[in-house]
Parts: sequence; structure tokens; C-alpha cells
Amino acid sequence: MNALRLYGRLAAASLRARMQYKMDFLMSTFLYGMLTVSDFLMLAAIMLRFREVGGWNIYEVGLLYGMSWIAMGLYRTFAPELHNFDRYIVYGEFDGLLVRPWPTLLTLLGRNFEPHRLGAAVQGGIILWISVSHLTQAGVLDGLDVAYIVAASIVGALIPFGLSLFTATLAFWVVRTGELQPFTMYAPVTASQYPLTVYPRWLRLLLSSILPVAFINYIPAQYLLGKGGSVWSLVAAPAFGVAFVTVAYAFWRLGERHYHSTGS
Amino acid sequence: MAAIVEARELTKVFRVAKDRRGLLGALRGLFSNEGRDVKAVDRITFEIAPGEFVGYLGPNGAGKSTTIKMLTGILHPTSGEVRVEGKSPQRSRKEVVRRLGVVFGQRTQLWWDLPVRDSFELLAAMYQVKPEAYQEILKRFNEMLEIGAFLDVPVRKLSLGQRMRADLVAAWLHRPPVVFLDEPTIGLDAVAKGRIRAFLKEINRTEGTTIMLTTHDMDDIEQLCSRVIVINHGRLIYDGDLEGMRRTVGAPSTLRVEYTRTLETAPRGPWTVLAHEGAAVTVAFDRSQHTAAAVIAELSRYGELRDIYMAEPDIENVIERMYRQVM
Repeated sequence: MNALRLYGRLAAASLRARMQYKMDFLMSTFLYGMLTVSDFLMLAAIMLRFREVGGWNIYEVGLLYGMSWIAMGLYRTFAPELHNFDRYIVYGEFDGLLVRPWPTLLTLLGRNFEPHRLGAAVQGGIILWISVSHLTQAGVLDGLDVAYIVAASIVGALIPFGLSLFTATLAFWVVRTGELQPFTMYAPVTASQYPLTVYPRWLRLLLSSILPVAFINYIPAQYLLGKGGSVWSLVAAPAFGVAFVTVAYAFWRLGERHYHSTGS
Repeated sequence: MAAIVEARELTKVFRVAKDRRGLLGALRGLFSNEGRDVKAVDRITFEIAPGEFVGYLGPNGAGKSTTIKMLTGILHPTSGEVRVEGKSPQRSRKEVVRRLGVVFGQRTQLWWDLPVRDSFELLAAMYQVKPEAYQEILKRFNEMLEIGAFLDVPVRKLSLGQRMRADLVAAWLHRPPVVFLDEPTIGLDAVAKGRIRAFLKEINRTEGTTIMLTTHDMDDIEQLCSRVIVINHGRLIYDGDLEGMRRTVGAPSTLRVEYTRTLETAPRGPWTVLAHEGAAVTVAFDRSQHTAAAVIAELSRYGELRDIYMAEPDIENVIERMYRQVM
């Protein structure tokens, strides 16, 4: 029984459980999509007023927005327990993860699956489609570019996942990390909806390093839209995602060691 | 026979931050590393043979949970050794834990929103239990615990008794040779407790599972455990059977007699009078000093006895006396 199959079984069970209340599930998905699209409404208001932001037009910004929300929506769907990890330390539930013969992170992720959060990815996908349609019609993007964009949006979920893993690991020392999430997750991901060119240099640096949300969308999009970067930007984005999660996982293991010595 | 669970000079020291008063103190506390060391578990040594049913007793804060956490690999000892089936839960966590069952009385390990059946199936997958083995054990446990009635109910909708039964089944699904139970009967009504005790007794007998039970419920101990380990302030203060524990502590036996006629004054002798109502007198005496027969003979010198009632030392009482003893 490998990890992927185990997770697959959980996802299936979770889905079955939620599907029992069909209306409820559809409503939740729709509502979550509506909630998150409010971000776009704000963005659209700005774009309609200013035509261009940092040299990017509304469809180009829509591209960034869509990629960002697909990544975020996927992360929220597959990793809700990581998102709310501090609960496990506060209520001593981490012990229950340690008595299972699997890596704790895997057992943790296998505890819950929230398919209704795909609503966020769906609204991001819709915005992405509209933007990409216009950009292909304008000849800025071709079919291959679009394929890459879709793949990158999915792989981009590694970035919020890595950010979440770092934040959650802090709970081993600090316990309540919920307060940190606006800084380590919500703010950076929201910031990635706009081209980095609108931000001051220090912020551009921050968003391409410690809080590397630029690798979800801006860095590859920049190159595809002919606004800078190189073909390596296309490689850098997924490569960075994998490296980022690897380092975050090493940090998690450090936290686990700390837990073994101090308890909760 | 080789021990299946072993603790040798097991010690756990926690560093507790120095208690600081006031805002200034709290601020200073942020920048200093001062603290004191607390020995939660102090050189505990014991060996448990396969198939034993051991009760692990101690007042709150005695170090029971800390010991169990070290046995299950949740905490790493500061010094000393722990072995389960000869392996270290610290060095080989996943290997050891694959053959352990753990039930935390206060929290469930089942999936909150899913039907009970789904939790079982997920666990069976997690522990690679073969489908035939899974079906068989489910059937057997259904007979013993009657879980069939709520297999399709989400865990969050179960009553405490139902949830506890489900947690027990979950712990045994992969047929572990060793199971740790942390307060499994807490908060349950008498009927539920009885059902669970019957189950545990049966399982220990037929499966030969080694069980270590942490509990505050003295009836659990009386009915289930052949052996009792008592700890207090992190130190082991008793390891043996129940009868031995009573004898060790010299807990008084209670004797209640009814005379044919009302007694004016309480009878005097090698006992303490606990109650005196008309013709009924209740006394406490030390069994290691005087036999019950001798005490009855002495009491009958004060009048004709109509009825006699003997009570064993209350385990609660025994434990309390034990905790208070200076070791």
C-alpha cells in the first residue's frame, strides 16, 4: 500500500461522505467560489480604472490571478489539516499521528480532504480561461504556452503548500500559528495576483525568495508574455517549488524531533 | 519468557520555564533561558511478559501519561531504555508502532466526519490488513461489542460509549500483540463500562494481547488486572498483584456487626470504631495484626452478635494510603 493509494482512498471516502448531502456540497463549492472571486472584483475595479498596472493589462493580470487561485484552491483542497495544524499541538492530537506507521505529514494530510475548496480553483480557472482566450486571440500566447500555464498552475500548488508547511512547523515551538498565516500565506498569495513590477524592490525580493509566491505565476508568465526573464524561468518555477517543499519538509522533521523531546 | 515490554531506568526530565510575576518579569522571561528541571519519570524499571494484563496507576501528574508516551515513541526518554518486542520505539518508531494498538480515552483517533466503517477501512489499508482478516475480525468484534448497529454512522454523531467501542475495534484491527489503553472507561455509564471490561477480558484471554491499562477507575483494576504498577511523583512505588498491594499498605479491613440488643457504649478493642448506631457497630482493624476471627471473638464479648458483614479494604483507600507513604 503506497502513500498515493492510501491518500486516494481517503479522498474517495471523504468525497463519498460529502456527496451524501449533495445540495450542501454543491452550495459550499459555489459559495466558496463566490467568496474568493471577490478578490477578482477588486482587481477588476482597479484594472478598469487604470487600464494597465505595472505595464500589465487586464488579461495579463487575469492570467496571474487565475494561476494563483488554481494553486491556492488545490492547496486548500488537499491540505486542510496542514492549514489548521496548530490545533494538533494545542489539543495534543499530534500524538495520534505519531502512533501510526507512516510519516506524520502523510498521516496528517490523510485526515481530511475538502473538495468544496475546489470552488476557488474553479473561479480561478474561469478567469484564467477568459484571460488566456483573449491573449491567444491577440497572438501573445500559443497552444504550447497554454499547456504550460495549466501545468504550472497545478504544480504551483507546491508553493502555498511549502509556505503552509513552514508555518505549521513553527507550531512545534510557538504553538498558536494561526495568527501568522495572514503574513506567511494570505498576504503573499494575494500579492501574487498583481505583477511584481508594481511593488518596491524590497518586496519584489521578498516575494521571490522567503515568500516565493512569484514562482507560482509571475516568473514563468513574465517570459511567456515577452516581458522579461528567459526560457529558464519556465524551468525555475516548478524546480523551485520542489526545492522549497523539500527544505520545508526538512524543517518539519526538525520540529518533530523537538516534539519528541518536549512533548506538547 | 522474554519480556514483551521493558522499561529500564526510564527517566524523563522536562525543562520548565521559571515562573515570572508581572509584566516586567514576563518580558525578562522572554530573554532569559532560566528554568528548572522537572523529573516527570524517575528511573522506572519494569518488565511485562506476553499476555499480561497490567494496570498502571498513579495520581494525576504522577508520570503515567509520560511513561506511556515513551513506550509508544511519542516522547524520547532523557535517559534509560525502553523496548517493545526488543525494539526501541525511539529508534524504530514506524516498525514498533505497526505492532501496537493505542487508545486515548479522551480523544478519538477515528475520522470525525466519516462513517465508522470508513475509518476501519482506512486503518486496515494503513496497516495492510488483508481483506479476509479484516472481515473476520470485524465479525468477531461485532459479536462482542455490537458495533454493527452504528457502522454507517459518522463518528461525530456517536455517543461516548459507541465511540469508545469503535476506538477499541480500531486499535485491534491489525491484531497488535501489545495494546496501551489510556483511561478507556472514563465518562462511561456502568453498563458501557461492563461491556468494555468483558470485551477486554475476553480479548486478553483469546488473543493473548498484552494489555497495559492506565486508569483511575478502581473497578477496572479489580476486574481486569492481574498485576498493578503504581507510580507517584515519577517513581515506581509498587509492582505486583492486588492482594499484595493491600497487604503492603496494611490497609484496614472493615467489619460491621449487629448485636441483638442496642449497645450503650462503643466496644473497645484492637480496632477503630467507624460508626455506632444503636445495635450496629462498624470497626476498622489491621488484618496483618489480628485475624478477623479474633476481632469477631473480641466483639462478641460485648453482647450477642446477630449478624456480621466484612468488607475488603477499599482500593481507593489503599491507593491513597500508598500515595501518601514516604518512599
